[in-house]
Amino acid sequence: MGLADVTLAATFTARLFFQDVLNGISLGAVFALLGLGVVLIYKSSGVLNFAHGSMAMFSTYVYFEITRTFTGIPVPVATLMAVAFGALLGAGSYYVVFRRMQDAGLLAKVIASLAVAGMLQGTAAFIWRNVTQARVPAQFGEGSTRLANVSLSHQELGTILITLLAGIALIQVLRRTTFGIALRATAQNRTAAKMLGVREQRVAATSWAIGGGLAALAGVLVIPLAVLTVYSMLGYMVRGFVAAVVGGFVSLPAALLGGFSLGAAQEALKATPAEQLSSVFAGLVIAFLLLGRVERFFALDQELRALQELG
Amino acid sequence: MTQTPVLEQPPASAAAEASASRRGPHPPVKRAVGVLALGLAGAALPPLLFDNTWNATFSLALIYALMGLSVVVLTGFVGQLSLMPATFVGLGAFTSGRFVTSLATPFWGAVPLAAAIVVPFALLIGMIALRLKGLYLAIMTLVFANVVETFLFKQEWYVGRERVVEAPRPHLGSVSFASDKNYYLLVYGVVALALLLLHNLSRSRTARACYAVRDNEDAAQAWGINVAKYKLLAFATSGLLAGLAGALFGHWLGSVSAGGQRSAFGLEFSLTIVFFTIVGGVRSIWGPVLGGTIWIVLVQRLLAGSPNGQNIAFSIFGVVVLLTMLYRPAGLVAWIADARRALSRGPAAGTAESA
Repeated sequence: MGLADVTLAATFTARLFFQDVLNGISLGAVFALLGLGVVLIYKSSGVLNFAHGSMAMFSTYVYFEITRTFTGIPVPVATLMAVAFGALLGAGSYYVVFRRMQDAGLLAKVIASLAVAGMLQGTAAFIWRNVTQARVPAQFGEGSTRLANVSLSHQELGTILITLLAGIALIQVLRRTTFGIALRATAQNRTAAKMLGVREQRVAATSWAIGGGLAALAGVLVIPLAVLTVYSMLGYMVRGFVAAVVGGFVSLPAALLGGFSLGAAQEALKATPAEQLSSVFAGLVIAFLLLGRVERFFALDQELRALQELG
Repeated sequence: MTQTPVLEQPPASAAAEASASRRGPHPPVKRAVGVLALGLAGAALPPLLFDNTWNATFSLALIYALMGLSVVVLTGFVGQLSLMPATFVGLGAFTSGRFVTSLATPFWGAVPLAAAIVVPFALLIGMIALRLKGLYLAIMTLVFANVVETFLFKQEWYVGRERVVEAPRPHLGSVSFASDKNYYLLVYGVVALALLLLHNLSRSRTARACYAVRDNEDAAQAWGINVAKYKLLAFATSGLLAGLAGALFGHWLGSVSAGGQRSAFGLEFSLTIVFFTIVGGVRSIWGPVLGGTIWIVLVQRLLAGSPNGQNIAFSIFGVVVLLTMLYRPAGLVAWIADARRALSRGPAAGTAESA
């Protein structure tokens, strides 16, 4: 094998590598969007929302139904409608189920969220039983942009930008607005926050609505690149949880960072000889995060402890 | 309140024991005869009274009960929630099938081997779980289940190119267990034995230590209970039960498929197992027997005509689990216990007044 061949092979793998990393970042954006919602919901109400992926899936089916039935509605409007539906779903499940479980144990809340997930999965599978492998329209068209020797579709680019915007906006909201301060106060010391006049239920319901909306956003952004089935959001949700674990379910910036890096790293593995590792990567990462207690680098000790006591 | 019991339930057993002692001591021989008679009736009646299809349903219900028992041991006894019972079931099913078809192991060796192989996996999860607080275990098992489902259950060396492993039913000498009636007898024997052992275990010193760990880990530790030992014991037992159930399930099916779009041993199946166990009662060994039977009869019988029976049943069970968690976390077995207590108290109260 001549030197030229080696260089060629090297550039080829390098190109593949950067292409995979880029795709991974857009995939990671979806993990991050889901992770942000999971963190927000956990901070406000102490519920580990295992129904998050199902909420995203259900809202995406609603988006599919809107774009299929009412062809006159422009895609951006349909997207907003789906996000609004996700927000309603989130707030609704808080009011119907989790508001009543504020003082229930940790495990009881988790099981309740699993039950909500089961309900949504079963209902969606029943309503859309005749729809197999639905395709939904992309928000940013089918085109793609070439950057040096790698290319990124507009949809992926849009997903990355929207996620960054949403993440930064959310972090700022938590930092500066009254709602954000109330939410952080609740997460740090529930009793004290209540005594200072924080309306716990309103804060929690708002967080659930934002979380549900973000889940819907994640679904409608990623599914145009894949096919929609009742199970298609599951893998994303699992990795969204991994992103949330990075910040110990407390830190939003850590969830954002975690989502992006998990996506990039997982896809980058596909271009390496350790390709097989790509699908087990999330498992290795979660074991490392949990055993290494990585969350302590991102979250205040006080917040972590307060949340553990909440459960 | 630093430590909340994970599932609040009133201590019903004290009242039950009080009412039992009011009825006077049960002669142990009489009781043993009663249990034996009931056990034999359970073995004999279904094959005598029902056709093969119903017997297949009954044996599946018992296999599901065994899967649910793995949740009872882990969640009900030591308070650890794992979201990968179906993964262990899948491991048991594939492994037993492979032993029989590829290594020509007889069924009677393959099933215990398959169950035993799941134990180290469960112990590994348990060892990680020892270092985790509360809900992190649920997340970790969620991720691990997804990894096994998308990696191991797709490996050619394990499940074959078509992702289907044959798992024929056994025979013992000239007796074949291929028919649903005979396979029911086999499954019944295994499940009855498991229930008997678990019933005794659930009243032992070991189990009481487990309950202490479940209710308040710090307090249990302070009392000198070896928390790690009992947790690992529960993980190992749970894995063994799930693997055993999986092996029996595989041979019930005849051929084990990893599934296509709808993964056969994925989160949905795990949720199903957790759901029917909770509906039945997660702290009682009879909970999954009750819940599993209801689930199987619902899916296999009542909704069998609909191609979406499973989806409808899944939604229904989602609602029922929510109602259970909100109003009666002890599950259906608690209602039965209530009814029995009311029945035994009725005449007892009358005699007390007349005396």
